[in-house]
Amino acid sequence: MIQLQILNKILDSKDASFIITNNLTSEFFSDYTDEFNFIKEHFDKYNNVPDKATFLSKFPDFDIIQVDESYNYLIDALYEDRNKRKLAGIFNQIRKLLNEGKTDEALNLYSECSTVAIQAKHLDAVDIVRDTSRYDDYVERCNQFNKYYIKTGFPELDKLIGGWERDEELATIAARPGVGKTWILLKCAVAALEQGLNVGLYSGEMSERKVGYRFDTLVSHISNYSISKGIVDIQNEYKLYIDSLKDRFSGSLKVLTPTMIDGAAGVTALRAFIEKENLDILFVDQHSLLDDDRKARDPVTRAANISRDLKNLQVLKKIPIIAVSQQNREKTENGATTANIAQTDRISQDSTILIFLEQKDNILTLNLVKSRDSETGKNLKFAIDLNRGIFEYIPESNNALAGEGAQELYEEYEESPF
Amino acid sequence: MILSTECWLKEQCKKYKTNKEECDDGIFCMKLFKLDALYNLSMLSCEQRKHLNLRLDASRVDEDVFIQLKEFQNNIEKFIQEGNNLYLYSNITGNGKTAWAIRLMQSYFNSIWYKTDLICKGLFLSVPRYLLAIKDNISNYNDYANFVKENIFEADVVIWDDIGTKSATSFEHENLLSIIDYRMCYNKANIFTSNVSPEELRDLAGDRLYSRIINYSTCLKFQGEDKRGLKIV
Repeated sequence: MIQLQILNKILDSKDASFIITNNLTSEFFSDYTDEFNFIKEHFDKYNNVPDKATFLSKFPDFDIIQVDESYNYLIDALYEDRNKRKLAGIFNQIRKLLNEGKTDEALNLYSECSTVAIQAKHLDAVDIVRDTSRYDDYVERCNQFNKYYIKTGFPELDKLIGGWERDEELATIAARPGVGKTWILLKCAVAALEQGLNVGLYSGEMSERKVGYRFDTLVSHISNYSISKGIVDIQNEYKLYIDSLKDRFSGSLKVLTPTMIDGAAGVTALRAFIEKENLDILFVDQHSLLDDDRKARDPVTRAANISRDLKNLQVLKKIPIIAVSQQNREKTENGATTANIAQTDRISQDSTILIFLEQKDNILTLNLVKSRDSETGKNLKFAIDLNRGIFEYIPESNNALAGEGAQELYEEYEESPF
Repeated sequence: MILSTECWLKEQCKKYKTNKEECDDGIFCMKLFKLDALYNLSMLSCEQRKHLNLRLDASRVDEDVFIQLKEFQNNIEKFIQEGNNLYLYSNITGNGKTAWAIRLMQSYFNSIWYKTDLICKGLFLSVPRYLLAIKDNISNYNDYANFVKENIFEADVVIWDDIGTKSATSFEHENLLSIIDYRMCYNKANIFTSNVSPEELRDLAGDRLYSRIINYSTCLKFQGEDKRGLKIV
């Protein structure tokens, strides 16, 4: 019935924008394929919808009815009709495969189901001259920073990007192996925890114990080497810290590793992780250690699938997802670009923020390569001592903050007035 | 870069005076970190970066030179930003030319450390060593020559220590000339120390190098005695 209603609405209004703006194709009109194609071809050829006389001369049995429903209702109903038919078809195929004992094929088909169902998009444009509700949003952002952003753990980075946006952040931190990606990710996780959030960390490589030791170092600054190698000298200090831990944070830091789920997590597993633990933010270590739910064999397609699924997950759950990724081997003497992400460009396209890391001589450089709302192409440097979990911002006159912090540093160390 | 484990800045550090205990416990120190980085990039050895007392002879023969250099030291940032050049010379060795050149670089580092980028801002170049290194670099990769090559054009100040100790070959001559010429064109400061007078430099280094160095530099002659090995009693 809905297909008939829509065709009547189009014929009656003679407005083809309904077809164009909703990308309607013949697959939406299974019962009236010829009728739809006729209208569409007529419009493409003559730039207008055929009138009823023309149409009826071609399809004399077509029922002309009165349609008073709104466009929004009609398009929602049409999409629902289309999704039902598509899904029913897939489930029939799945049943057939299961009956034939082809369980793996059935599972693959099942995992693809979610991409088949699509949502209707209503074209409700906003007149930004008259709709100034964004000012209220701005005022709220001014007054309630924490409602919109989560601090990254690097105050200087927060000055550039504002922090992780709570609703729409898929950030990627990329570096070559051995630079300290996991340390940085964990430092960001600790900062989120300090803000009382429920934090999730998927650790694709490191055990929960190893992650725990690094967490301890970042919080207490006790030597990570001494903790992980069992050096007895720090035992009392470590015990005091461990005893104080439960009262220190109101939030939680939940760690998920592949051993807990019998293999690498796919994005579906991460979704379950978010829902089960009611996470406010998710950290992923790292892209290449995730499984592709769609089971692509080609590594590029696989990485692209994972990236797209992570993006969809972020949009669906509306929590920030911060992931680390490998940087490719290309030289970056003139500065890293979005093309320096290993495996696929898709990761940089999907990311709202892209930060490349470099480390040399105990100096960690954060290069902000992509950010929607702030200047990119500049960097921040930190003096680091990973063994003690120390990250100290280094003011530099040409950094992303134009040397901010230099005066304070001078006053801290020097005798004479600035 | 190997970070200093022992703080060599204690004597001139305000923070050390007020937080002695913490500092001795090895708390992270940004000043030490940044100055270590600047000094390591300058190629000054750990021994050379220590603060030395610069002393006049009893005859006070170099008093005017010391006063002038002190004046430069007091305005070191301006001196270097303006791309000024100094030619410190004496036919007597060990009477403080290099020590003064290093003192000026130290003063520069002390005046910029808190705000500067961590790149090579000052470079100490032993000219005889450099000339050997560039020849060695023709057949073998030489770390020293390549480090100098990477940084010498952009460093704010370069100390050319012991320039003109011998007649330069045309290869050496062209190499030095091209670097010095570039630095002067781009207003980069240079401090030359030498055991030869400006006139002798013309014979050893040729007219073109002489012209660039001497005509653009403040030439100061040291006449004091050799003080190497002397100890304050």
